[in-house]
Amino acid sequence: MRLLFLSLLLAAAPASAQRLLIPMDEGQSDHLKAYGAVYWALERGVAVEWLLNHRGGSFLADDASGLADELRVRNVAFEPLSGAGAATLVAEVERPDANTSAVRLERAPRIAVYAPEQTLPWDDAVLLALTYAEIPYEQIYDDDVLDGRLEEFDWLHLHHEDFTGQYGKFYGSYRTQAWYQQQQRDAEAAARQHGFAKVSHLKLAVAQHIRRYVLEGGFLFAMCSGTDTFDLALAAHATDIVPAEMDGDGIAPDAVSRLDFAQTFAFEGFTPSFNPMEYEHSDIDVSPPPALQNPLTDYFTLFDFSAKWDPVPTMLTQNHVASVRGFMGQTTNFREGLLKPGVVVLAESPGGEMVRYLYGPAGQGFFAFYGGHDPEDYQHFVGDPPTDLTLHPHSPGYRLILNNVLFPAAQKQPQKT
Amino acid sequence: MRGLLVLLFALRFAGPFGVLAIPAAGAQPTVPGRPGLADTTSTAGRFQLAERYLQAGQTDRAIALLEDLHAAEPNAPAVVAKLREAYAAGRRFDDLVRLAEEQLRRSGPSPSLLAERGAALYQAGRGEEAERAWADAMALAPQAELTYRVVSTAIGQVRLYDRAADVLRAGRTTLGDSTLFRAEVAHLFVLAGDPARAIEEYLADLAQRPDALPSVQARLVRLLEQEGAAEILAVAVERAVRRDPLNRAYRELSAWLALERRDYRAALDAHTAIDRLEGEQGQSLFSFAEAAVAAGALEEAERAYVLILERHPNGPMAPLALFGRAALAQRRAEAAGETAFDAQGQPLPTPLYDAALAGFRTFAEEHAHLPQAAGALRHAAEIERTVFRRHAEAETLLQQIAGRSGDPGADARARLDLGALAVQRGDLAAARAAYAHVEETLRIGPFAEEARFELALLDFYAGDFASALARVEAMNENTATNVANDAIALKVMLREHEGPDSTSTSLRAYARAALLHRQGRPAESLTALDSLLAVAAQHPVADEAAFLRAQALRTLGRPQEALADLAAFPERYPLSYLVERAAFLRGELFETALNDPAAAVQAYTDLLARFPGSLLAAEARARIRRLRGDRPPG
Repeated sequence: MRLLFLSLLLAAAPASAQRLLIPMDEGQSDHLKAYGAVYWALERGVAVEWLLNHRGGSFLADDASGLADELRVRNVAFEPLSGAGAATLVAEVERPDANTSAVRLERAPRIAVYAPEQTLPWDDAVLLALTYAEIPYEQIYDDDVLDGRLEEFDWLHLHHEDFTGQYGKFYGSYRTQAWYQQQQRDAEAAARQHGFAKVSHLKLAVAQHIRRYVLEGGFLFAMCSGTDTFDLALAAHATDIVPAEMDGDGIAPDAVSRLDFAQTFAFEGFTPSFNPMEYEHSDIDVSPPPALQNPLTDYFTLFDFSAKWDPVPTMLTQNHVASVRGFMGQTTNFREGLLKPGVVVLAESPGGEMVRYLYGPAGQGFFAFYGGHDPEDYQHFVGDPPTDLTLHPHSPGYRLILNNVLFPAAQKQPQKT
Repeated sequence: MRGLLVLLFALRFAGPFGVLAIPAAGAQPTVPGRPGLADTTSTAGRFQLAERYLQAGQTDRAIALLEDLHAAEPNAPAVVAKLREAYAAGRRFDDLVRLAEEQLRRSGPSPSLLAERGAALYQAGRGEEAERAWADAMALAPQAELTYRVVSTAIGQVRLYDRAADVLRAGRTTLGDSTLFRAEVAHLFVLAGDPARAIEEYLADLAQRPDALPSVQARLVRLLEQEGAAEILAVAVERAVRRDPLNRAYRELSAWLALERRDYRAALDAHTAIDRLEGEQGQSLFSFAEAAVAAGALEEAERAYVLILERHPNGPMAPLALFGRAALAQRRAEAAGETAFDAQGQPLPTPLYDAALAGFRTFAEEHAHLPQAAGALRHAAEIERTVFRRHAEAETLLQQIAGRSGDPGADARARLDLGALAVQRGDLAAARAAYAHVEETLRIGPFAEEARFELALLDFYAGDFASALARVEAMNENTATNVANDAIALKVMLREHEGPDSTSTSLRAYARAALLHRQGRPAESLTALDSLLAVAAQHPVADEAAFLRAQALRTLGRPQEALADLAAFPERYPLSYLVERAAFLRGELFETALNDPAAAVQAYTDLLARFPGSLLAAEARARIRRLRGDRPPG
């Protein structure tokens, strides 16, 4: 009789485990699906603790509601622990001299993704991440925001969005393309429908609703041009920074001097780009140095934070690697000199002055901005097919997105240093 | 920033708009073959250096060099062109305008210089002045075709494709020739994403130049990706077909568009019309039928084959249509799950298999000289053997191929099938002869390996284990092929399960049961296995016997008994490599034989829990998700 491999037997989980440790270090078989499994557990009221800085930011959950079976179906590696073993582990994680901490996750956050119904010729990294991780979300857009639906959600995501009403500044290259024209027609119709004279006014109103949502305790996560255009639109609430090619009238002559940086979340002192032909919104965005514009050499570094005193940035930067492969976007890095005081840098690109990932408090809520477009497609061009995440189940760049999804599930609003 | 970048026209306008690999800001471009050195003493060397700076994305350095060269040689066209390119790459549009104006002052007005000035003005954000410059350019030589081409090209380079098309159409009016610039205007409308106007121009062009159809199709492919464009094109082409029904180019365009839109009914109509109007012998219909089969439009494919056979029974495509129709019927029968007998062995109607069999037989009889004849016989034999279980008929058909076909592959395949038939009817000597012929004739290759493995199995069934082992040990261990994997499994069994008595009685009994199972005699196989397990429950082959017993029970329609055996399997044979397969088979039985999805999910979940690293885990996960009806979020 042939021998069965002992390793298979050793890997089999005993039925009597009381808690399940989901490691997030190199031993995890699918990092991205692990987030979805944790979300699944939270939806069913299973208690989950996020063990910050322990084995790549692992999770400890009760073995209840069929979680172990669900983890197996999703191919998420886990280790069964007895009650005593789990207690020992938590005590170790909470040891005062260790930079680790256990944060209780309470409930599955309600998630909204701000994206148009119209299919645009580029992918959305957050939609890809949520779909792959099997985390439920609702897609909303201008109508929903203006109708006050944001309060239904704990977490809002923006991706390749343009809140300045300049249609992504694709005018120079794509104004003759059907999708661009359709995008413009849809936006103009939406503006008229809501009683706005121009698309920039509609988008400003949407940005202001989102701002209020965050100030009242919501969580905003934005990527790519959803970051800088959000602040640009808010700063330009009393002026016109949109060239005539997009909105029919010109830029206000005193546009720069009338920018109101008190309205913005992350940036101040920036200058918009008024050239309609330029694929750039402002000087907030800064490119990596030419020598680093190479997927083989372009990496950014995650900062270390104190897990006990700074749990929020620690949660947002949990990963199994310290350096994450870079990726480009319409907005790739944020110019460090334009950050507002109080904004916390979470990751920085080499070459100086380039912030890749940041977060900050705003009123009762938080925001996090992450530069770049698609963490597993170094330069995602218009018309490129979406990334297949089954090929990247361990993607550190996508993990940063999913950290944000679970962050609003944390029990307490942690202290900020 | 160039993240979500402009790529669409990167190749066409590689200079100012393309994505470049940019070296470090301080890096010095080098002369090829002489790293670190550049010839800066001669004009040509400085020009080449500027070019390399430009290619490296160091536009400021390139511009400085080129401005020096331009100051020294203001009339050198290559320097002016490169400086223009550098200004555009550096987004120094005001300098671009200044250069264009300087050229105008130096050389005097010409349509091309004025058009270039217009493009520079446009890039500098001075749209109204650009329009005036282009109007001036056209006014300069309004009777020359070239004027309109030059101005249109300049406007097209700043991607105002509608505007560029307007210039050419204005030239058409001014010159009084409505046939001018057809293809150029149409292409500009394609670039502008305007299918309605593009197709009108292309149709007019095709009326004059029907040979241009392939290039028109190549251009239109780009538009088809645009939402709604295919419908707009189809309506316009249908209108053209009605207006000029005898125009073959329009008909072909209509048929092509229908296929691109996956409207197979419309495509069939279009090909039928071409076939009738052009006096074809079914070629166009046959091409359509093949495309429809590949796309799964089986009904339309069937109609096309029938049309060929009815309209052109003696035409060159008739035999191929006959073969295609028979293959189609077989495919449809398989898809429909047509079976010749019910569970009690009573015959059932099989119209599709009947049609397929008749088609293949007719083809083989009427077109024996064609290369497809062997394939037709083999298909017919396969249906006789696997569907109708008429082994004698199948054998007769296969005998017609073996030894008579000029194709060694077809001959070998037929002999292997003959061998399988002989095994099924219990004539192991005939089977051995068939396999041995293939092995000796071919020696190498997949057919020879298959024959070698079958010979090893025959030795195994006969209890000649030493010979069986020698054969499988000689086989190529290429695990990418099924036959090699089966051979490895047989080799392991032979090495581990012989004994303990000198005649390996238990293994012989198992081999006999395996042969009975293969011969489609599950009841006898079950009896043999029960006898074996009664006397040799502790023998190493017992796990194989128990697993085969569960399969026999499944074949006999006794899934509950099979499940009971499989449930006990891990306890009885905890170290068997078959425990994973037994766990998977439990899931399959719940899923297919008992139609109990909840129990199937539980069985597959048990497999994942016990054997997380199993090769069957991925399939088990997929089946759980399918049975649960998992849907993507959002």
